[in-house]
Amino acid sequence: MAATWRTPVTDRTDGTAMMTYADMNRITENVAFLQEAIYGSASISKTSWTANDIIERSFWESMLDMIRALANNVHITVLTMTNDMLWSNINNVETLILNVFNTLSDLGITDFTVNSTSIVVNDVAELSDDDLLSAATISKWNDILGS
Amino acid sequence: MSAIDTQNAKKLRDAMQVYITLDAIDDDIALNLNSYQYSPKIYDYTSIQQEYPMRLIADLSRGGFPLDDTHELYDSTVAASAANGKIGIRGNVGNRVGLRITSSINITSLTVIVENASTVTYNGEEYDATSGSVTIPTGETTSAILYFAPSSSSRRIQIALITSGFTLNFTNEDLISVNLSLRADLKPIDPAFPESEIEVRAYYADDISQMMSTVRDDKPILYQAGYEGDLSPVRKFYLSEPATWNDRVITFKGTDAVSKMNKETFPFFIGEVNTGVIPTSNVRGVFRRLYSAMADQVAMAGVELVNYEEPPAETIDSYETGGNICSIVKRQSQRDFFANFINLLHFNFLSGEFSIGSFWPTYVDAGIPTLYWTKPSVKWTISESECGDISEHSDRKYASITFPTAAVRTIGRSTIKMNGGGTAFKYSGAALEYGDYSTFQIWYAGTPSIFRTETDDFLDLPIDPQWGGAHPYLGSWIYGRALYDRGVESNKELSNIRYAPFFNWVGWSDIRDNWPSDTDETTLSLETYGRGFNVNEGTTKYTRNVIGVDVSASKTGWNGLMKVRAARYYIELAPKKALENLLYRSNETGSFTWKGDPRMQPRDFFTFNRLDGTQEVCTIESISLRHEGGGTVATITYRKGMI
Repeated sequence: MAATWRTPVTDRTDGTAMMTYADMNRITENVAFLQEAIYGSASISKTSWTANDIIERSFWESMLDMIRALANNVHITVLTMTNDMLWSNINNVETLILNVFNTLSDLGITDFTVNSTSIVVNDVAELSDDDLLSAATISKWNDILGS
Repeated sequence: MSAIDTQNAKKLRDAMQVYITLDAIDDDIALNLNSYQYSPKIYDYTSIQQEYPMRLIADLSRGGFPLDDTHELYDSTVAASAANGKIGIRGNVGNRVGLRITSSINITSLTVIVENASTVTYNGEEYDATSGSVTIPTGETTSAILYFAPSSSSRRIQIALITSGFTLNFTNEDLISVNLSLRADLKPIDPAFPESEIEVRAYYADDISQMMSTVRDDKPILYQAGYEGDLSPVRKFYLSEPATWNDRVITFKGTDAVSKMNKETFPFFIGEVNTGVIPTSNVRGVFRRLYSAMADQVAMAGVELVNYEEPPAETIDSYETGGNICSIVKRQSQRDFFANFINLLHFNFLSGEFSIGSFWPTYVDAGIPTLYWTKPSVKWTISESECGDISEHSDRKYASITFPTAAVRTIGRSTIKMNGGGTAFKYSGAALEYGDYSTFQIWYAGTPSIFRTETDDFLDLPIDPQWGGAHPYLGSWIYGRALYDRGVESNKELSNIRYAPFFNWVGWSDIRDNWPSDTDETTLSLETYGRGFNVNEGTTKYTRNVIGVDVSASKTGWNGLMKVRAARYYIELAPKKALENLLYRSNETGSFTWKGDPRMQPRDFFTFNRLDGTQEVCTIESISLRHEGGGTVATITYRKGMI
């Protein structure tokens, strides 16, 4: 089942912010969404959380690795993410997820896959004759194509 | 001003709050746990008996957790510890938890610390768990099944602790009376090291006689009293007699940790002084080692100090290569050790004497094990006008301390045999004797490999000095071959400050020809003589004669290593000061009733404001503190002066 993109929360300002199962649903579903967009399928093991759940270190570390891989695939800066259950760290996690998503959007790619030797662009948003690609976008394309 | 002080200043105090806990937890009985019917979400059964805090983990129940770095991701591989906390047993949200608990030996009750549980069911009986602590009388059994019910459908049961045994808490509402007898012994001669006691009587509606009958001795009784926001330090006693429950009244008694001091000290060194210079820092070092030995004895008794004063820093002055002097404390009861050392070694050094101010090593328990180095300040003020009748006494006034002849006072032999390095010798004697207490002093220089002791008193003396090596007990270098020098035994007045080695010296030249070779099993015995105190009654004059050995004229140098100087400093245990301490101790004692203060300790100093306007500084010897019917009263015995 295709994951649904949900707008990340990146504006926590202090430790009064709570981590709820709804937050974990959003974060993990967004990871699944980006994995499906880039890899064609999601490998994250859990995207459905309830109040009965407890976040395990092994899951969290695995998820951070997945997010770093997503960011590397679209050649954007990987933000520092740790195991700390601190508002600023969770902001970074969701910011990086958002950055990956925005990069894909900037590129106009709505569906592509990466295999070991090439990027297969399955679909690109339609561009009009008047659209101008920004230098940043061209650079990213070059990075992707060059890789 | 503290609440207790404020109340003490009033003519009629408010009723003092008293808190008593009988902690009859058997945390040494291992419990095995398994889930039963209702499995928990996560658990660590292995640490369930450990009183570690519950670890704050990334639990999404009840609205999740704050992102303030207080919670951590759950990692089952992180071992429970005081620092890491523990996982305990955590159920599924809104679900029950069932546990089967087994033990290899019979248990009679279980205590559970649990959050978010409404009840615990055992054997069809429900126990209220909403307070977070539940005691379940299981009867004698090796297996029990407990069911925990959640307090709400959105909460996760969290079981922090399951142990065999129980705790009982009492407050003014339950307490009938609490009597404390807090004791020291300030006699100058043959003081004891007495136990302090507590006796508690309280109402307890449920018949717990069977449960109480299974409580083992030595279980902690905790006492605290005072007013809201200002409670006395917690005093810890240990159940000393079987607790009884009769006609809804529970009675139990306890003694302080002095009762645990029923071992013998191992013989040990307390000092090492390089005889070349005997720098001030070394003398400080001797006191430090003695103080450390006192702390060791407390630890050996299994007592955890609540208050411990760090000794002054030890700085190292110059050392000369040469002989060393060691004092050895012989095997003796721990109580004698403390009674005698504390009695002898309360020194208020004058300016320039060792640069350490005071050396006032004192171990006081009375439920608050405390070891301090420094002479304490006056802590309390008591006005005679607030006391009941004062009973004053004068025990014998000793005017002199004399030493009988050496032959009479020779004490048990010690033998230290040194092998290797070309020599072997035996040595016996005492350096300072007081009652049954003695120290030994040895001079040695050379290259030993092994010291060995051969009498019971000094059996297992932990010495194994190596040439040039640091030794854990001596802290510095040890040198081998024995060297003795002979002084002249004579009486010396204290004012001459020539007191020290209370034993005979034998000149090396007198014995060297007969010194055995390293292959010769023959040993050479050197007897020295300890000196005891005899106290003569009298009132008018201190003769203060002592016998000492004047080593100020002793030989200088042997083999270029040994130098003896400044015998006046050869007072590792400062016998002169010890004698003065005893001679000047007041023989005036007294007792009175007073309103009482739960913070007071035996050996505390207080200013006694007398009716005639005079002030006396006195030392508390004992306090009998009684709480009953909302009132508190104390009987205090004291000895004049600072002891």
